[in-house]
Amino acid sequence: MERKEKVLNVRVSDRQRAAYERAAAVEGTTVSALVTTAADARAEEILRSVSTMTMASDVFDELLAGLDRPGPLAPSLDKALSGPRFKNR
Amino acid sequence: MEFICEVFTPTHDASGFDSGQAALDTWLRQAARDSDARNLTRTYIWHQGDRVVLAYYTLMPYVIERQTLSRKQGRGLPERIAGYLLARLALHRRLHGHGLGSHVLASALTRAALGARDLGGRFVIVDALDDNAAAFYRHHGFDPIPGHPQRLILPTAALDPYLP
Repeated sequence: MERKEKVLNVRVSDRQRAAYERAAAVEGTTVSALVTTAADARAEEILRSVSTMTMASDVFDELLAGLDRPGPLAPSLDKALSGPRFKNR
Repeated sequence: MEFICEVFTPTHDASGFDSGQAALDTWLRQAARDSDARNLTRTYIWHQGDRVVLAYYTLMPYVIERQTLSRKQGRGLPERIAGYLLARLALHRRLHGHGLGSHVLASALTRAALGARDLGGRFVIVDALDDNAAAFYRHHGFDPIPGHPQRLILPTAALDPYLP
């Protein structure tokens, strides 16, 4: 079981509080559990979206084929990589 | 004039960094170290020996997944491809207009290609914030992803011949 020792204070309106309390009662859970469960799902969705993208199967296949057969680099990038102005440490 | 590029640490001074895009400056000053400390991202900075940040970029692992309608449909085909997201790249105003953007990009792509060589990773993807940024990446050989015109991609294999 994950330890929950931190406190998160959140300001809500009367309407929100009443709605959360009613919903928690319907589910037979606590307001705290209701809110954190919803926030966990949203946080996971957001964090996942910054590190993952999903694409249609045909676009995916096209992309994969391109990765298998890379062409030569653009002249501008070739130039920068061939005569770098930086030293990577 | 040669620049030193290294991992962003508390020893570097980013307090005066001004790229002209407040969101990029704020992120470097306020969020980059925390994000790096959690190993979500890795941020590299450019300086000229005085540790004052003149440019930076942030890389992170990234996955592209195939959208499958059914388990059967995708059987035997690759389901996901791992690579890197070039999440941020910015130059101090002082460096603008000298063609150095290409070199900062080259620095970032070299890092990604070394990561790919050591640990795998088939692409570098970028999210262009506006049309100018998209044009910059297209000029450097990135291809737009069909259906996602602001998202551009470059195969890491194309960089192999340039690795030390």
